[in-house]
Amino acid sequence: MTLPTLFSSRLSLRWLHSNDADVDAVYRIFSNPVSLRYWSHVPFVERQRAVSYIDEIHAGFASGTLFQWGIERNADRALIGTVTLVGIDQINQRCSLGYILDEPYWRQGYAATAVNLALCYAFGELDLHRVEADIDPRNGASRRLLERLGFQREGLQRERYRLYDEWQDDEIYGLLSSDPAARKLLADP
Amino acid sequence: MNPFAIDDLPQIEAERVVLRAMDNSDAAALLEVFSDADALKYWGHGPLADFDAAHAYISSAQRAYQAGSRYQWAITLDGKLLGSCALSALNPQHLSATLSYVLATRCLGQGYAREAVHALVSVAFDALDLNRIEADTDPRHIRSIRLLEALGFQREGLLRQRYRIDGNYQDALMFGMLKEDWQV
Repeated sequence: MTLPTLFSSRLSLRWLHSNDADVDAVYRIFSNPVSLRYWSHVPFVERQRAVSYIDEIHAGFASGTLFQWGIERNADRALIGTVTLVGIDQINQRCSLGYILDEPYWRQGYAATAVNLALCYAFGELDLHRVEADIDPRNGASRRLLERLGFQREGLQRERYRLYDEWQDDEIYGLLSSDPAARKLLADP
Repeated sequence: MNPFAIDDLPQIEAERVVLRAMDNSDAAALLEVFSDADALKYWGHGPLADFDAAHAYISSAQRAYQAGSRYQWAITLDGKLLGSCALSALNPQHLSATLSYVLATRCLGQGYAREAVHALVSVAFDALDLNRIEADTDPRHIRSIRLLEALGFQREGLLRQRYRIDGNYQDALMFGMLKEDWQV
């Protein structure tokens, strides 16, 4: 069993393989300190870490709690980022959303397209009721993306993470399947 | 290595109540608390079914503190369990944990929960050197909200329809306290 591939006209969300090409791409994405600035861990410094990371993604999928797709650009089949549904909780019908895009591919609308595909899947196939996302309040690009997608700001948890020798606040956003933005997305993906 | 992994849970003595590790002699009292629908109204899981379930719960608490993932104490008065409190999601990188507590309905209104949680928070910031403790409650759970705010927890958010309990979606009111908020 692997993740289903999800298609849009520009991008596809697809299973990450353990082959050299995907390991190289995952290492490139997750070793860039600019892209990783507000991610939940520090940049990888060894290619081997990308190998184990893909193993962890496969194990998370096998346990049913983590869906992490590679974002592939249709035009040249470049792997340009990942989008994640994590903490999939069938009892409470919710999950958390994550996304990362390799720095050269920023500001072209790819993140919004990829997240839209994942949200349709979360509210549609997985029948979830709530998707939440948390961002560093200094991450303006990420906030603008969530707000454009209709997420509501629900809280600010102070000093929630310690990374790069600093305390980081955590801003919490939520989108319900009953929110107008989610209903519109499902009616017209 | 998880620095929160320990063999023996420390005993915490407050004015009247004592927090100590649960053992099998607590099974009957634990079953009473965890089959009390009122006490569990806003708790994260349903009632325990029987003695076997209570024993399994006590064993799981013992394994959890040996692993360093959750410290759970019995709240006792004269040796007898009247509730429980815990620090879970203990995180050595972020120096954070999540607080929870439950008390038998018949023991409410006497300040036991507040006394227990005050002592626990004190240990969390001083002995365990945590930087942040968080807790979430149902926004209708006025008694719990009052307790948290009296201790200095701040409201940090309202997460909409975060739990589904008996077919109904329920909001979660999020609280957090930092070490710098904690002035004894």
